[in-house]
Amino acid sequence: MTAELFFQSLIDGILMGGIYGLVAIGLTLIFGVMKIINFAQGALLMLGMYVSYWCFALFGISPYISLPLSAVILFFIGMLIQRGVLQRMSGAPDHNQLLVTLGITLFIENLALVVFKPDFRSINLEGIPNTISILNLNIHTTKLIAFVFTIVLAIALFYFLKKTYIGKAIRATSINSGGAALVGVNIKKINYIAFGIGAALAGIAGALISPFFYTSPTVGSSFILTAFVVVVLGGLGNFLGALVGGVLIGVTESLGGAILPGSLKELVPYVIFILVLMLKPNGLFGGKVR
Amino acid sequence: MKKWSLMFLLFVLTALLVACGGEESSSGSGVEGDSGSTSADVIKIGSLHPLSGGLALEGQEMRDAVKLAVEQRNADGGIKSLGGAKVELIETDHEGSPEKGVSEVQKLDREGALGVIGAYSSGVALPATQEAERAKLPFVIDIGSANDITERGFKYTFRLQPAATTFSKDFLEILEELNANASEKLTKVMLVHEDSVFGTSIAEAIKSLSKEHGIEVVGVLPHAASAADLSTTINKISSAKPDIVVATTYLRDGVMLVEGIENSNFTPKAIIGVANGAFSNASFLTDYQKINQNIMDVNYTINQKSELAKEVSEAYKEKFGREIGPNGAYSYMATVVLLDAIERAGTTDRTKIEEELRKTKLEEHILAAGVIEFDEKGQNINARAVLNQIRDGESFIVGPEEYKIEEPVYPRN
Amino acid sequence: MKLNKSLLFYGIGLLILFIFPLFTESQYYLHIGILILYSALVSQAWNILSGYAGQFSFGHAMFFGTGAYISSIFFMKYNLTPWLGMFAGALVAIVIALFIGFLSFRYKLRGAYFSLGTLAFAEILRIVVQNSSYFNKTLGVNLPIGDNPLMFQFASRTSYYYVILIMLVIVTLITLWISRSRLGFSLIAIRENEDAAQSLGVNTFRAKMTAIAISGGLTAIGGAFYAQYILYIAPPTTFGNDVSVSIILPAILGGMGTILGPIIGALIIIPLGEITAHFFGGFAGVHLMVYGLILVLVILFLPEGIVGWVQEKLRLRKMKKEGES
Repeated sequence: MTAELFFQSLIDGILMGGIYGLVAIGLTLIFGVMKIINFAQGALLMLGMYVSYWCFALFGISPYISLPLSAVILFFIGMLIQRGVLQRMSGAPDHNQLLVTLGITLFIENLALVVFKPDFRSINLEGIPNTISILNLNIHTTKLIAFVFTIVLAIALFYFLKKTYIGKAIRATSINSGGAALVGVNIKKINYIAFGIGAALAGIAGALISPFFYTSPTVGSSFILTAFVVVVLGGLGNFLGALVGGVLIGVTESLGGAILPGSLKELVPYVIFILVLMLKPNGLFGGKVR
Repeated sequence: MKKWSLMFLLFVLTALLVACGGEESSSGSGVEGDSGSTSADVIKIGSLHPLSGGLALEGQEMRDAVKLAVEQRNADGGIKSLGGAKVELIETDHEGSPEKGVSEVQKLDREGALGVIGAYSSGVALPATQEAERAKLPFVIDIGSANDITERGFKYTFRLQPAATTFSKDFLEILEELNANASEKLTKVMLVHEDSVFGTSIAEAIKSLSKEHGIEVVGVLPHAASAADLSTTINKISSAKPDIVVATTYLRDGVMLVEGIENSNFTPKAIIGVANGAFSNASFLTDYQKINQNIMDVNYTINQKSELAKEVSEAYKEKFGREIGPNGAYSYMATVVLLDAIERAGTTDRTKIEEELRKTKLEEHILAAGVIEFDEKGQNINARAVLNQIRDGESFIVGPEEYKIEEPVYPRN
Repeated sequence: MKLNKSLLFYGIGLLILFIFPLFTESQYYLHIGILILYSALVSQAWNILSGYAGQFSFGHAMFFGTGAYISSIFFMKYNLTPWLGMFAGALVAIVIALFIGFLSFRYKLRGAYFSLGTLAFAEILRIVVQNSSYFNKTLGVNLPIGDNPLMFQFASRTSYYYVILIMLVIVTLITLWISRSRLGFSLIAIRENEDAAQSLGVNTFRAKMTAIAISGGLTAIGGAFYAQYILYIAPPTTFGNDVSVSIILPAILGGMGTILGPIIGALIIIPLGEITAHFFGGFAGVHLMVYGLILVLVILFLPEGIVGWVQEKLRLRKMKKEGES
């Protein structure tokens, strides 16, 4: 492997890792607080992409400007899912919740297929160069923007959870929901909000991904499995962990891909995943929302 | 109480299936033993494509093309030899699942369909044609590239599209010719393909035949069509520095590949698709003009010299609001071929229709290929791929001689 | 008296399944029947590990795919009859199951972690298979059609129906036997409270290992049947996540940890998919929306599955009766 290939792979891996981390952040919040493996996260991401796409196609609004709209719309959709379905099954076994989110995914994806048609939609942003070149290495601009956003988001969430009342309530619920209820936290409400925020994060991720990835009804499946791996790697409910986990997966995948033949590079995240599960089941950085 | 009513609902639904199934089998089972009728008010044919899931885009485009062919036939007076019988299209969705494909074929059989057009996914086409063979139901494959589809010697399976090996041969011959006329010979080839049956079978065939044609394959890079990122592939290309990048991809990954190459430090002297799902796609042509200039694609496609083809494209665009792609063109022709055979048979007896399909000799058609006729295996012998090149947001046929409307630009820059 | 009643119930059910082909000539109904029986079989196999022992596997496609691939590859390469190939497949699946079980149980993967771990293992196997030329990479295996019962090839669909019916009966009897054996009680104890079971002297590791081995082996048998029936297999249709999900659904719907659950579930879910396709098939996507919606509703309102819910009702009625007397 030449030095150039190595560094280029490294950069691509870090940027892609940022994307994985971005998708994983919402997932890790939901996982951490409600212990729900939310398979519908990919479908929510897809909805966020469609919000960006339609804002762009109909009004010419850049995804970076319509991003708050994606977040707000998805927040309410998330609340609706939590209120309409998941809240009703609190206390049901884990696997039932997991299957319900699968059913929801099937519903949302096919709804999108019916309403938006299967066409692949792309957003071509004028005025932003595709890549920045430094020392003969190419950095994908829109991915870099997404990466920066991810870091900002992770830090913002960190402070939100640390400093605000709702944030503290979410953390309390994630650690011990019974205890939180005893001290007066409205668990139901917190769950609505937490799921809403998780969904809003999927919306933001969708908005940031839409400039460089085709929007289509099944787009979520390209990210969702890797996102799960990242969530467990980073520790359930740990945002910074998700980010670091994402970068770790992105880099190993990219460097592994440079060495391994065929599509064997797809193995890398799963192998790492299993090793982490065995050796550090709480994730590399410990669990619980923090 | 809610639970009782839900249970009740489930039982009612199950009972419904049994009930409506019962009706159909009484009317449908007549078909097999029936020697056929020579007049009918309505005849049915089926379309079996992936209408949902990851391949829905292609599947729906093809379903629409079948619809168009059926409607045109009905507007022209239906099947005249059957007393002007109208053609009814039964649209079915195999969702990319083999067992679903099998059950949809059985349903079409029970509903008395006289033929089926399908199936796009090779993985579904293989078991579905087998079921059609059992039911003696003519199955015209529009697209489905696995060699095995016609290699099993089925009587009722016909295929319009060239098989994977034909593609690869056409590609290598076209490349040889390009090199013969070019200022610079490009022989170092990197194969990039999506890793399902479609991409793999084409890439493997090219690799195994490459030596005979003086081509050196410097690497083979497979990827999953749903991959979130192709940077590894791009980086491997830019460090191997091939003359030509040969790509068999679907739409999304094809775009990522071209964008990635454009954004890297390396520019290959040619990018050539083989049966590429992106390079002949209307949205790729118009949305990515900045990066797609002079990209080539060896593909089955519509004949741009044909007046008939222009009419069909316009009718399609008017009706469905988008361009008819190569897949749609093949589905359209597959439907025409089937309906012509029914017309000639003049009966609803499916064995007669199969015999007439075998006698097909269609000279006037919209594809850039010779006369449509089938060999004893049911393969369209004159099926072929032609060379297309993108220029200013449009794709033109640039070879071979009889179909070309523009001269190729090769090497690319 | 009680025993006779339920025996009668089982007998009638079995009889109906056995004489069903006599009443229909329709290939379609036979095909649906076969799909129901084989889904019930693999779901029953899954039920042993996940329903009884409470180890919720989300990657049973790895055993399914192993059975499908080993039986097919051995048939194509060494002309080994799938009747034996299917046991070869089961054996390989057992080895894989023990390996995965050892890693998972030794390192105490529980709940969601175990589920995600099995999912990852299934993906790993899929990737390995589709990169290995021994398994024909992504091209899959296309099996020949023939009429040689010794080679698991039947001319009529009715034969496939009876073969899978008998296989299902055997697997169900095995499950029944396990559920009433010492092993079964250990597994249920593990499901209810693993730590308590251990402190009561149950060798939880060994019990779980046995469960995953049996479950994996039987799933592989189902996979081998699938391959010989559909005659074409490829990595995504045997090792994919969708396969794992379709193995799980009948048992969840019918009731995990019950003998009849997977069978009742399959009897409902397969026709359900057909019904939604029948009524909404003309509008691409709508049928899957309806399917997803019904799935959510069922899990929402019948969290213990149909059989679990009926059992609960019966129990309540009995308690009421006893209270009255």
